[in-house]
Amino acid sequence: MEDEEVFRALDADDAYEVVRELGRGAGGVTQLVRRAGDGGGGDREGALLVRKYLPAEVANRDVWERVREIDDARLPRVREVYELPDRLAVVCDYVAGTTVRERVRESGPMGVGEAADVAAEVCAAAGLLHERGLVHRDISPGNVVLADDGVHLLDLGIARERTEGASRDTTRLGTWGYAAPEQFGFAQTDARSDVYSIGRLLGFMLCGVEASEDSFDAAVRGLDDAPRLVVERACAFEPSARYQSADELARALGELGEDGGSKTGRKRARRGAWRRVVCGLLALFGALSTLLFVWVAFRLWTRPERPTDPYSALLGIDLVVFIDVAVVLLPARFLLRPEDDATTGRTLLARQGLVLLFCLMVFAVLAVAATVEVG
Amino acid sequence: MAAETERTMTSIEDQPLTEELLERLLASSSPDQYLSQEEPGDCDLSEMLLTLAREKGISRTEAIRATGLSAPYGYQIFAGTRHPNRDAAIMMAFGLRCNLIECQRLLKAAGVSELWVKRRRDAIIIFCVDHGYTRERCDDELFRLGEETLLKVDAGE
Repeated sequence: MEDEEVFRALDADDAYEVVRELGRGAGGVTQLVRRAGDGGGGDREGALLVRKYLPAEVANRDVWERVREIDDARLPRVREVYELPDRLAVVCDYVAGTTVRERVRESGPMGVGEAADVAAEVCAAAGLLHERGLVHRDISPGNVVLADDGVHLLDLGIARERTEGASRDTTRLGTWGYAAPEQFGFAQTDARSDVYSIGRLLGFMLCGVEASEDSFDAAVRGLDDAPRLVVERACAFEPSARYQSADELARALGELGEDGGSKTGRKRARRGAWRRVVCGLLALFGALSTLLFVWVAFRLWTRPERPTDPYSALLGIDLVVFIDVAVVLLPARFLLRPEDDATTGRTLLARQGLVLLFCLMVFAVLAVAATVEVG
Repeated sequence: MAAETERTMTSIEDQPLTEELLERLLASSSPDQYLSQEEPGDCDLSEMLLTLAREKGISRTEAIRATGLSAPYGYQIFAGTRHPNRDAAIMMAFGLRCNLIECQRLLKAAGVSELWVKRRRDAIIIFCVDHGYTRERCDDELFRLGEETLLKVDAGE
């Protein structure tokens, strides 16, 4: 590089101050940065950005310049690209969110509909790259972020343009378990290599098992038929046996998502109807009980025949409170929020216990008062 | 000036001199006592250069231009991917406007011998560093006094 080129690159590099390092590996270094002082981008002053340093031997400036032309929220919005003597620096907007890997680790496998939606968005992002002759080559759960504004496909560090006539890629890399077999030197990668990775991603989202683990294939075989077939076809060893484009895979995912597309979807629909029926019956029981006890309590209070009748009326109200809260409201709330299955089962029992305890305390006080009255 | 990394160091000038640390080591009852108190750590040239630049508010571009070294070479020295020879390290000290203490530490971090007043050429350089001369003015003095300049005709690599 000529001296002036280096100086310009250094000045560009020094225009950012590092907030913290996000990652470091064979593929380069990733930093969270912001513009230092008034760096010329007044509207972005203070805005967080991501700077990636890519080793010269794996970086391809042309790829990033083409990505820069893409105006889509699903792909990194490239702000600046500059070349240092030993590496390429790329500065993109920072996307705050949770990676698919973090999401599945925290909350377990996704439902078919959600996983299909996420994978379809990744297909759309990958498709934009494929239209420009680019292949991502590193689609994995760590490179897909779920943000407030949707799904983002990040880390194009090893993206490549397809070279007509080439028999194999000159650099391989990729994430073990998610990279297509041809990335290990068998053939050149193309859009179908990304299709493979998206299929592995889909499998991970549905099973919660990393594609790099030995148990992944068995976990995929345990899926319902519809999603399993989509994953298996996308992940066929032979590229010609896969979906031939990200669009084709996206169409298959669309059918999967609509259907509930599977027994799982139909099971969830049936379970939802059953819950609503039970809630309806509970509500009816609660309403009838309330009416009955309130009427009886009113009679006992206004026309007492025995000295303990007013206390009996209050006991009736106490029982109505227990029925309405612990027997009707709490179970109905539990049934109508299936996503909380794992935790509100225990919470439900605990809350019912508290309500029962409260009602028993009231009962005890009234019983003592009634006894004193009679005495 | 923005630094490449966030590593922080105490100011180079505020760090204790080697002689002071040696006194403390010899006064310790065991190596463990000294090491537990002083945490000498490793002295990384790249880190030192970046710290000096940050403390003095000099960008890497300004520093490399002032040394007269080629930009790629200067970049590599800052990045720690290339080790400077003695003259290049001295030129770096000029580029970063180091005082004599900072210059000597820089040379030590670079793994080369410090400036030695008993060596005629070093004495001239010591004088120039202490008086805040630029690298070009130091080379003028060296040339005038018949000594080899820091910047060689082949651009100092």
